[in-house]
Amino acid sequence: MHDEPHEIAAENLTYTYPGMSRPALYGVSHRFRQGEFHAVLGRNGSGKSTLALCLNGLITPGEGRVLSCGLDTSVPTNASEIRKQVAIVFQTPDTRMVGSTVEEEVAFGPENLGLSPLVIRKRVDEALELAGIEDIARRQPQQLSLGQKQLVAVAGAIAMEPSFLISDESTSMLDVRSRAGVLKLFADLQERGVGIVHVTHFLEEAAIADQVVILESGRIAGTGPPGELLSDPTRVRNLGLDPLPATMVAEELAALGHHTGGYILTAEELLLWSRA
Amino acid sequence: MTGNDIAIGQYLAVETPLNRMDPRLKLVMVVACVVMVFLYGTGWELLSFSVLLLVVLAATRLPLLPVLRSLETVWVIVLITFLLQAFLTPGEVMWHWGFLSVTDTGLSNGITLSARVLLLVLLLTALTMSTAPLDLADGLQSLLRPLAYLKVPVSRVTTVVSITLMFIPGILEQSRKLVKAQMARGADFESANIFRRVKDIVPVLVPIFVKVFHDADDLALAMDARVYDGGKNRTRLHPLKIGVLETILTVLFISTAITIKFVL
Repeated sequence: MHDEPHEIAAENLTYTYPGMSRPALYGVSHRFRQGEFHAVLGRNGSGKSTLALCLNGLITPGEGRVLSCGLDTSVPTNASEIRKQVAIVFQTPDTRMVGSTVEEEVAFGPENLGLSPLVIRKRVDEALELAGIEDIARRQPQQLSLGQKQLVAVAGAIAMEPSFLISDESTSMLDVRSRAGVLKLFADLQERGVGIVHVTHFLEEAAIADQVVILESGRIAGTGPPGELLSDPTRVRNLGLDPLPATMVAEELAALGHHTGGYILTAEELLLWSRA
Repeated sequence: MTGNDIAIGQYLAVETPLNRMDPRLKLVMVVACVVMVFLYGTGWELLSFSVLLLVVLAATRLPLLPVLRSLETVWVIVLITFLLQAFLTPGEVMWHWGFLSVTDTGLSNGITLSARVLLLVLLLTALTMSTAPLDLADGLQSLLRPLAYLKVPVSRVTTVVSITLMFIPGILEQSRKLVKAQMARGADFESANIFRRVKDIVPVLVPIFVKVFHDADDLALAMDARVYDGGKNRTRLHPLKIGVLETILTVLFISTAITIKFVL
């Protein structure tokens, strides 16, 4: 979608919610690159959602800084440009919809950018098509299933033509099929050059990312490719998370003397190892 | 569609002539009607206007009847208004029992005031049911634009109005759920005495307020994330456009409403 790849750089980011004594994020530094799929993993209260809000400037750091596409999120005049470039989708779409029909909901962002009706129409149609929801364009959002509502929310973000899409646990309340639909959409967007930052507590979703960031009590507990980070069951358990089923099987096999060698995160990888 | 499916303040995205009409014309029409409803002094004037309004609304095919049927609170207000007027207004006594007496003036006032309340509810329900909250905000913003010269934050005010309307169905739905949840745990909202009912309603009100504030925060954050800045430079996918036919019909309707006042 864009010529020059952008990045979101969190530099020594610290954030404390008003009235709280302990920071929700402490000294977080990481670079999220456009065109890559980053998963932010951690248990409840680890600071995942706070990081998501910081990345597009909805909250600004107490210490350190966030540069979103080169713009400092702490500078109020940058807010509008940052939100054009860094779209966000939240966990609960129900309470965040303003449009009376799906297409009006998707059009809300482009309308706020002051685009002409023709350009808005084009963006809405493209976003609806990419999300695979053209058939419900004239329906009222309240009448949709939660999975459909989340797709509408993602379509609304796509219509902004952002460089990055932040997903703040957008799949956590969905059933398996709807989750797969949203993740497929993220993959399609990544193919088009959009950087995805997906906040989740599902390890299987983090396993499909290019890079994983694990947060623990507001600090980064580990970053790296998912195979490297998630295939060690002891490490995953120490972070308060449950290892992936395939990883646990590999662990059991290792205990029985059958070492799998490489990283095992999925059933397919386990199957390939067993055949080798 | 039943009354339980629709609530007052809720927009229905259905294809009716009233839905397609420009929101500014609808607002002008409603304001004119509200003024006329208060100017009408006799029962005949109100009755004639009610017939005119009902004919127009019937032609728009909006499912208003189920909503009006479900508005228990409004009916209670209408009943209380009627009874207070009928029994407490001085005049020629028509019926007397003990210390209670109904007067001719009281009866007449009761009927006209109740009719006014009902007509206002009907008008506002038809407006909100046929106009999307964002369209309503755009219409209001367009009509109130001159106030911006007096430093009135028109776009913000209209956004507050439209979001408030947007929240009403959600609040009603939430309160229904909470009442059911309380009833499942022994609260009696139907047969218990008034003191017990008031006592039982408190645990329902607190979570409703908490939820409303929480939802408002969520919505504000989501709007902020999508570059909403009060609607100053906002364009629309479907820009407002006033048609010739709808303008003629609006003028005709308002003229008829005014004629009723001066002819009857």
